[in-house]
Amino acid sequence: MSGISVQGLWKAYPSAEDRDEVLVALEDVSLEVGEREFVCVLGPSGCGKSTLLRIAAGLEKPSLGTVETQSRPSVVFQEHGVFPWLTVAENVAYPLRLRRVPRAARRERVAELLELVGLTEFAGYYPSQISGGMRQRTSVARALADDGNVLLMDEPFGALDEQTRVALQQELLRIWEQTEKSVLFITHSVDEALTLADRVVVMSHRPGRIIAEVEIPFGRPRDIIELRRDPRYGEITYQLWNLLEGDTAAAEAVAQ
Amino acid sequence: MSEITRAVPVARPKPIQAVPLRHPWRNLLAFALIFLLLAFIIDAAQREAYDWPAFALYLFDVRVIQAAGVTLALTFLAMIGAVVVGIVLAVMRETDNPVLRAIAWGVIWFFRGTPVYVQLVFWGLLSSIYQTINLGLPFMEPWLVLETADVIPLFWIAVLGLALNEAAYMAEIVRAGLLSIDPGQTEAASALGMGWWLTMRKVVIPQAMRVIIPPTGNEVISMLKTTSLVTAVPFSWDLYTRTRDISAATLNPIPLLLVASVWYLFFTSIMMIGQSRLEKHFSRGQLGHGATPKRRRRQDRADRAPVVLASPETVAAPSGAGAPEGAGMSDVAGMTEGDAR
Repeated sequence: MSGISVQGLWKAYPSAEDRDEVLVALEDVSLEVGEREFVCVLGPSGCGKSTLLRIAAGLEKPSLGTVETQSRPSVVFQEHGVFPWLTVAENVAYPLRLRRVPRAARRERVAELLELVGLTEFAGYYPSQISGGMRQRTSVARALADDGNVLLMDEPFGALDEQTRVALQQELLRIWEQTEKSVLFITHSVDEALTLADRVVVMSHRPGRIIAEVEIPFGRPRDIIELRRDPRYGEITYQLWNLLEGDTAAAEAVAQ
Repeated sequence: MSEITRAVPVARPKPIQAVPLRHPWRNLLAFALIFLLLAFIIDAAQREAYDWPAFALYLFDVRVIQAAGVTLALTFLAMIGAVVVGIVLAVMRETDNPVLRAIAWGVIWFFRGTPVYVQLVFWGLLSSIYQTINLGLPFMEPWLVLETADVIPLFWIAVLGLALNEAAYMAEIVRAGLLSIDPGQTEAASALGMGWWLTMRKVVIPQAMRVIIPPTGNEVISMLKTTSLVTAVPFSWDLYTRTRDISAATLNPIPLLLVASVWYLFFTSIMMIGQSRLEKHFSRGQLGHGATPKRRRRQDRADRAPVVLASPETVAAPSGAGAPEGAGMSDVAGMTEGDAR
């Protein structure tokens, strides 16, 4: 069985302006994320890619179609995902507490996870006392504390500055290579998509449809700085941008 | 490739010779005020009208202590009622049901828009307006007829009147608290597999408390003082009305007013202390507040840690693409060193 299986997914919202109309956010979206596969969904803003993730996470109901995941997915949000009244360590321990893992085992697992994301020094800090990058690492560590092997990420590094983002991308790859997770990663960044993914799913402007799937040929483990010297990097970047641009042009043509 | 030029060393600035700023006018004003205050105290201690012996006599009078107890009971019972009704009204105002929303709005509109004194008079006249309480089905002979004045004692009328008035204010406070929670928090909770009730109990309400507690504390203090209006019901066993009644017999109102004031002040002072404790508890995780001393010490130690990470070896990573991991990490550590304050 695959990690995540999305079949014929539609999502429509009632229009705010006209009660008789609906806005179609997702139009017949189907995609598979294989076991231990890293798939990025790339699309312009407002294309419904976050809606896709929210449906996969069970936060919204599809209008039509199904989403199956191998286990209950863990989610890393763009922002506001960590609990501000808990310390970093308590945040990471939270899913374990919900599952009533005994204290000793919990402490051991939290120490492991903090080590993995490099936050051991900051275990006792509150989220407001650390940087945005560290908050996102906390969020990642908390998602990893869930035992499931499906990880959903909704532009987790979108609000970070570029250097922090690159550092965290590299770390995410390192961490992911040590786990058994299937990852669905939402992004609007071409660079991010082709840096991280095994496969990039490109979505169109609203209504969100899948317009292409691009296999990324880079092997694992990846050094994401070295990657940028690879001649294929430029080639794929060009290809992905063309897909996005072509879609924008088409959307404008339809609008006129 | 472009050359990287070296940074030019800058000379250290000279140490600053600091001279404290002088405030002659401020000092003069302070002296004048202290003098006036002392003069007032000395005068008051000697002034006949305050009648300090009577004050001392009545301060711990059994009737006064009982009345203080009644005032506390009125305050807390009315507040509990107000919080419960306030939460219900707040939730009603946030529902999708337009009828519930409108009803909640109307209730808040009425109780906020009329003086509490007038409301209390109304509640006092309840037994004149509705002389009997009839239990049964509408349009049929009632099964049971009760005299309103018999079943609802004045004490509970006072509690009811105070609580309903206060509920309108509490509703707005609770609503502000619920609205202050980032929707991302509830989403994160439900992504962790928490149900609606668990999310409310563990995520939303504790965080909303941070917003709800400070104004609620003020409301409690304000309620304690508002209880002095229950004489409008007319209920006469609270602190103010009781001391008035005593002084009506002794024809000596001033020392009893002082007695009542001291008791009110005593209670409000305790409440203020309690409130600041609660605020500290619920503001955990907020910048600059509430980190417990133990944690603060731990942070101090951790504060120093990143400095070690940013030692020359890690910072001076080759400028090429050779060591992205090391360079990336030290960037993050260096950045957080500043941010972690």
